[in-house]
Amino acid sequence: VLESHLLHLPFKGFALVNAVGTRKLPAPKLPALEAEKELLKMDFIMDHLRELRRMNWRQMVAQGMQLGLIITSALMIWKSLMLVTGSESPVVVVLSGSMEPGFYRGDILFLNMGKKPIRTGEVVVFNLDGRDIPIVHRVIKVHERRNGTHIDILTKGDNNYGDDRALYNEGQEWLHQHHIMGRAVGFLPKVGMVTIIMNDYPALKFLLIGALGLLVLTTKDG
Amino acid sequence: MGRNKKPEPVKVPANAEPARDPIRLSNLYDAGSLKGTLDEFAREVILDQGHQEDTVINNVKIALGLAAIGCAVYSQYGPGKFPANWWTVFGCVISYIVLTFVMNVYSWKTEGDAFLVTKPFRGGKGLRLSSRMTRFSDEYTLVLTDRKNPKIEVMNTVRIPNFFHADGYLAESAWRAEVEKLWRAFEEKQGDKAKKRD
Repeated sequence: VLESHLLHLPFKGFALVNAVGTRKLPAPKLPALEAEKELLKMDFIMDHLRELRRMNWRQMVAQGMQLGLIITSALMIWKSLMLVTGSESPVVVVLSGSMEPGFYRGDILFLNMGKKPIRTGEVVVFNLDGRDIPIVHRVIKVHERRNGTHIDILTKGDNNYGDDRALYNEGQEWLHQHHIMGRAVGFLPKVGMVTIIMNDYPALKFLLIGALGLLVLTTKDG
Repeated sequence: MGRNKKPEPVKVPANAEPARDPIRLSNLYDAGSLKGTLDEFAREVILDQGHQEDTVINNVKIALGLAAIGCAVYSQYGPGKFPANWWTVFGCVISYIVLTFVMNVYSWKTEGDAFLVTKPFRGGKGLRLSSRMTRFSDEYTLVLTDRKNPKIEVMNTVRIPNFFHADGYLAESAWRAEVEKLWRAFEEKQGDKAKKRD
């Protein structure tokens, strides 16, 4: 395949002139092969589209419902994870390098809230008021009332120069219990890169979901 | 077929469906679509005999499924922020599990592995049409079972390559004849059982 690409380069004439002595046989009919591959892909898509047209509306609703059930079962698994860990988002992806060398961009973190009080040294994920992207940093200071009712928390990223007061909202100097989403209890290195890529190129997300949806709607049970 | 003879006009029955494209598969190695095509066509042949699909079953399944999906959507988009509405979310998850469980049990009990279940018709109590095809084999078994009395059952095993042309077209008339043959065998068996009971 590499050889035939060389033959298509703009300076094809130059290459042929120089390589007269070692010229290989012409590549096999490549354009025809490519056209056939395109036709096969079209056939595959047309088959599935034809299937959709042949169903009556009740069958279509039933198939759509099956697709919906698959999606909602994934959602339900996520919800039960939320219930078990007590955290709004039990699995998060690290987006920045502010916790290196502990956590790198693209790592997946497992969170658990738990009832134990928050202590220094723990890695927590918190949500600032009015912002929707949570931040994962380490707790460096804790002020607590003697009766344990109120808690002030200060955080800092391991790889940052200063503490997070620069990140907090205007006039805010401390975090409180309700800002904390959970504590990091485990991690998977680099697996979260897929999520980051799908976020940077949203078209990929829709393509994937569209293709999966079409397949599920038209594949017959074996 | 003399050269001077004009072909006779084809008599189309008054209420025939409009002619549609012949069924053609682009990939003859896909077992799932082979079985699916034979199933679809057999289903149409049986419906042509006058049977009607029992839509209650599908309707119930759709209703249960939509209720389950509704629970799921409510748990995601319902009012309240998460840790506060823990019990609501818990209720939604439990309802979802129960609804899908009931739906699957219902489907298993009334349909089994059939892909067509019909209403009672002409003295029979309705029938189930199901098919089997093992992996990597080229044999396909079509089974007609009576709904009330599972002992009234006829089946027919055929070799799949006999019903598909090399370029992917389904041999519709041959398959239709095969299904109608099985259908007549089923009617006979039903008739026999009725006579024995009387």
